[in-house]
Parts: sequence; structure tokens; C-alpha cells
Amino acid sequence: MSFADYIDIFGDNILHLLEQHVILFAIALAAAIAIGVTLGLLVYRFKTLDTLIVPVVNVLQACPEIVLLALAIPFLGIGISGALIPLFVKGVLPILRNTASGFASIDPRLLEAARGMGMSPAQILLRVEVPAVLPVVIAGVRISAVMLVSVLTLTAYIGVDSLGTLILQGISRMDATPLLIGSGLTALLAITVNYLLFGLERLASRRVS
Amino acid sequence: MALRVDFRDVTKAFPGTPPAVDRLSLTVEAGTILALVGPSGCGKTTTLKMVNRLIEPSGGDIVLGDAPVSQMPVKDLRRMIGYVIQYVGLFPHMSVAENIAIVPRLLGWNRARIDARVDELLTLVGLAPETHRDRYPRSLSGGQQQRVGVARALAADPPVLLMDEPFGALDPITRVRVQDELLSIQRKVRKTILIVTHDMDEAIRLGDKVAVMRAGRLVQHASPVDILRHPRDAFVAELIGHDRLVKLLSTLSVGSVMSADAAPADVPAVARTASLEAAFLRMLDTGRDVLAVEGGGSLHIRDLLCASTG
Amino acid sequence: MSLLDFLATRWEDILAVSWWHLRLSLMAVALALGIGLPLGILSHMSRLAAAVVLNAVSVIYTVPTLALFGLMIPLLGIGILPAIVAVVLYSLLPVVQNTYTGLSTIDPNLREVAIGIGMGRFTRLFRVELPLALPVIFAGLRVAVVNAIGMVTLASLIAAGGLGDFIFRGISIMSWNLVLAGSVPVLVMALGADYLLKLTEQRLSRARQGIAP
Repeated sequence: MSFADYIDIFGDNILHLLEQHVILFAIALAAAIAIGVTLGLLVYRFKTLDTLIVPVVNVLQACPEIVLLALAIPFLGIGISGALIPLFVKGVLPILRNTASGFASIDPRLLEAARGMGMSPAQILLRVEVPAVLPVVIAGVRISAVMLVSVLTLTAYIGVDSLGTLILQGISRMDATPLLIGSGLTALLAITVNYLLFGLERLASRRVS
Repeated sequence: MALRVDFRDVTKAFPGTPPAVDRLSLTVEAGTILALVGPSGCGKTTTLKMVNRLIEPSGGDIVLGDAPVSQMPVKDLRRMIGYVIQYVGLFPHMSVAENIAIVPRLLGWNRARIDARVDELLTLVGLAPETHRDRYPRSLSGGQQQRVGVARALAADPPVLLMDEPFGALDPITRVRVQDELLSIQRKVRKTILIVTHDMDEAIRLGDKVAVMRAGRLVQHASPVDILRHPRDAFVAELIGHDRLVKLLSTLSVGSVMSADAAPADVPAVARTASLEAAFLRMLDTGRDVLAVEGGGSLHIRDLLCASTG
Repeated sequence: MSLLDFLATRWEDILAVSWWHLRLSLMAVALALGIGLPLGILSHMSRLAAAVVLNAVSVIYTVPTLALFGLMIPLLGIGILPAIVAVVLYSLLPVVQNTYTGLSTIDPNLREVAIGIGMGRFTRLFRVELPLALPVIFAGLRVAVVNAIGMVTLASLIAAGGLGDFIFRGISIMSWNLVLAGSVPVLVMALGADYLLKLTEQRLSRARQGIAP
């Protein structure tokens, strides 16, 4: 089937899958940011948490996404939560790491100066620490987001529609058209997300320096 | 072996800015130390780097012995010039011995000759070969690293040594000690050494001649004593500082101004090689205006008064 | 069938497939190293090469792994060759990027000294720059190996075998035993490789800094 024919017939379906992909992505990323930043802050504030979290993070880091998805099936079943939760867990890692290391790398003299000027802890956090770590945190979000766009294609294997569904169709039917459309749209989405967040990152770092 | 270094009308201009070095002409005699001194941006480092052609001059030439550097293959040129920089630049992944052996290896020396040379140099710079040969730079103190840096620069017995702020990263006490060591090494090896510093005291201590530079130009080129006695202008005087005469006294030795007259009996004695500053303090300390010089002769306070004019 | 019975009957099969999985991964990384190291060095030497190569490998890296395998089908069909090509392409980024970063973050003073004492371009590269960059390059290699072990799981989709065979069959026939038989060896290999290579990396980096290992 030609490209034009395929789009003509399945256009609505493609749009639906794209929409689904973006929604899954938005949910997973939002949750990853919320949890990642919180955990990152906790690790930075309470150093002892480090010894607890680091091994877990290392294991998750090395664990391939498809394995994570497969292993989650008996616990989360097949469906939205089985697809989203394991992937969002992977997405948390870069954000957590960058948040913790971002805070840890703030020049202690800067904090001392802020305290010396009589700023309250809340003021120091908002006016000194957050602006300083923002670029690093956004960099973590960017890594996480690009990864999420990509790994969300795998949800197709456990029965959740996404652009991966097209790729899967293409592979199983040996049909290049849905394959190219699915792969192309996902790659395009990843590149766009990367580009946008990269811009944000630069904007944030310009404000600091 | 040492070679004369001749700067002939050397200019370095970078586009869009005033020349970094402007028609510099001076000669460094073989086996002497020239200290290039001046504020940052005066062109002293550029001058140094034009000798081993890390920077190419835009005009004029530099001549080593009889050979213009511009005519020599650049690798050969660099291998016959020792090079020491402020951050020492010891390679952290190589042991002390490996660091020293770099240039001899580039020159294709055999193993036995290199090993012997490494031990010889470590001894020369005052580090016991057995205990230091196989250590890594990270485990040495700043002063020790700097000595290894000097040993490395001397490895292939280069006729010329370039040193760019070599002691800038050391604390003041270590610094003076390493300066003394450099002078004692120089008494043995007699190289032609060009040393860049922003510290006039260091220039005066180390240089047989001092070249003061400002904005790419040579302001004054003279012996340390002459610079202290007759700073050419307010800029040079400013670099020396308000204690110019004290520095002069500490630079001159008793032997250079003493008289042959016998000293009165019962006056305190002072060594011929002692500095005039030490002699003067001795006078203040003992309340006498004349000192006996060991080995004959005397030093009167009048002699000190003429020292400043020579 | 209980998990133990399953293992008792299938353990030889599982070992053989795991071994194949590992071989496929290492083969791909070895190729990626052979291609990526020279590309990284080239990028370090020429600004133009850096702009082209670094951008190209990072664009490849943003293509979803699943899509990358899929895209191989119209180009190379199915089987081992397209699977390896896909993994090699994906492994290029960590190798090239880390080689480039390792080489270009060397203390400029050391580079100047190397030039100043008369080392040529290649002497400098092999005696000073590459040895100093080794820990960073090795870190890239570690990422590449761990990624490859995970990615080869998907190679099963284009008929290149590997532990993905168990996982995907397990998911489709809802056999928890099969899923485990595929997942656990992948996880063990990925974690093991990560751990061993990290250990080596730390030793290397200490040795590079002149600290006794």
C-alpha cells in the first residue's frame, strides 16, 4: 500500500495513536518530574538516604526497559498502569540524579554569602539555590523526556496503544509504511522535545550567568 | 653546553590589537639567566613562547647560537629547548622516571642511557632516585613536582631552558628554597635560561640580567644591581617597590663595596659573601659604624652610603 | 508447571540463548568501538568533523530503539545483520561522545607542555591524550555494553534470537515462567557487566591519576 493510501485510510488512527502517545508521555514525565525532584532534594538534604537510594538507582539504571515492563506484569497486570509505572520509574532517575548533584555542586560560599546577608532558608532556596540548579535539573528532565518518548513505544507489547503500535504492526506484517510512520513520528517527537527543552535549559542558564 | 639567544627586532602582532611584542632586540649570553619581568599582558610570555615557536613571530627573528629558529624544524627545535611552566605540567599517568624520560625517548636514546640519565637528574635536583623514580606526580609536594619539572626540562641536556612563571604556584617559603636550588643547579649545568615572572624580587634573585617589559616593549635591560640603582623610569621603580634600597643592599655583597683598610681591633666581623643588608643590620645591632671583613679588609658605614650609586 | 520444573527442563536452552545474547551484544559493542573510537578522535582533531559526527550520532540516539530495529527491515531485512547494525548505530553515541569529551577535557597545560617539548601530533595522541582520556572512554564503553545487552532483547523482534525470544513469547502466551527465563538473565548480565566495568573504570581512573590501584 502506498504512503498516501495508508494515510488516507488510517489517518484518524495515526492521529489517535499520536495523541495517545503524547498523553502517556505527559503523564509519565509530569510524575517523573514531581517524584524525581522531590527525591533529589531529599537525597541532597539527608545524605544518609544516599546509601539507600544509590543501589536501587543503579539496578534500575542498568535494567533494560522491556525487562522492567515484563517483570512488572504479575504485579501491575497488562494495561495503562502496567505500562506507565515501570517507564515512569526509569524516567525518574536522570531527574533525581541531576537534582541531587545540582544542589550538591552549589558553591558553599554563595550560600554563606546569602546567609550572611540575612536571607531566610526559604529565601535562600527560592532566590539562590533554585536558580542555580534549574539548568541542571532541566538537563535531567530533557534526558528523561527523550528517553520516555522513545521507550513508550514499547507499551504496545503489553496492550497499550501508542506510536509503538504502528511499529509493531509494521514489524509483524513486514510492512514498511506503518513502520516508517510510527518510527518517524516517534523520532520527530523525541527530537522536538529535545530541542524545546534544550532551549529552556539555555534560557535558565543564561539567567544564572 | 649552552647557546646564546639573540632577539633581533622581534615583533608579534595579533590582528586588531596593538602588538603584543614590539620590535624587541636583546641578547642573552650563553650560560646566563635572563629574567623577563612585567605586569600581565606586557608580552613576556609571548616573548618566551616565540623561542620554541609555540607562537610564531610576525617580524624579526630569534637566533640560537648561529641558527635562526625560523629555519629549524620545529620538533627538533623544541627537543633542544627545555620547557617548564607554572603548573609544572607533569603527566599524571606517568611515573617521575617516565616523565623525565620523555624527551630522551623522543630522541631515541637507549634504555640504559635513559635510566642513568634519570638517576643523574634526580640527584641533581635533590631527590633521591631510589625513592622517587617510581612515584607518581600526585604523591609529590608542589616543590618536589617543580624539581621533577626542572629535571624533565634538563633531561636531554638542552642548551636552552625556558621557564614560564615556574614557581608561581608555590607558597612563598617553598618558592625561595626552590629558587635557591635552581641557582645551585645552574652553577653546575650553566644553561642559557629565560625565565618569565611577574615578581620583581624573583627576577632580581634569579637573573644575571633582568629585562623589564611593558605593553610589548623593552623598558630596561640591565643587571639586577643596575636596575635597583637606576630604575629607568617611574614604571620600573614602581615594579621594584618602595623598598628599592633595601633590596639593593640585600643584593650586593660585602665584597663588592668593602675597602682594603684594616679594621680597628675589637669590631664585629662579617663574611665577605654576606649581603650588605646583613652587614647593616649587624652595625645597627652592635652600634658600631665599621665592621671587620673575614679574611682581611673592612666595611665602613660610608661604604654603604655609596652603594646606592655604585 | 512450576518455575523449578520449568528450569529443570529448560536450563540448557536458557544458557545457550543467554550466551548467544551476550555474544551478539559484545560483537556489536566491539564494532561500535572500532568505528566510534576513530570517529571520536577525528572529532577531537577537526572542528568540522566534530560538528558533523557528534550531531549525527546524537540524532541516531534519539531515534527510539524499537523504531531503529523497525527501520532496519526495509533496508537490510531481518536477521542477525540488521540487528547488529541497529545496536552498533545506537552504541556509537556513548563511544564517540566519551572519546571526544575525554580528549577535549584534558588539562590544556599538559597539552601545551607536550607540544612545547616537541611531541608530534600522533606521539601526543598516543602517549599523552589517549592514556589520559582512557577512563572517560571506558565509561562510555560501559554505558554502551549495558545499553546493548538491553537492546539486543528487542533484536528478537527481527528474528535475531536472544533472550527477547523468551520474553516476547512469554508475554504473548502469558507464561510467567518464560518471561522470567528471559528477563532474569538479561538483568543479571546487565548488572554484572555494569558492576565489573565500573570496577575496572575506577581502577583505571586511579591509575591515570597516579594513585596506586
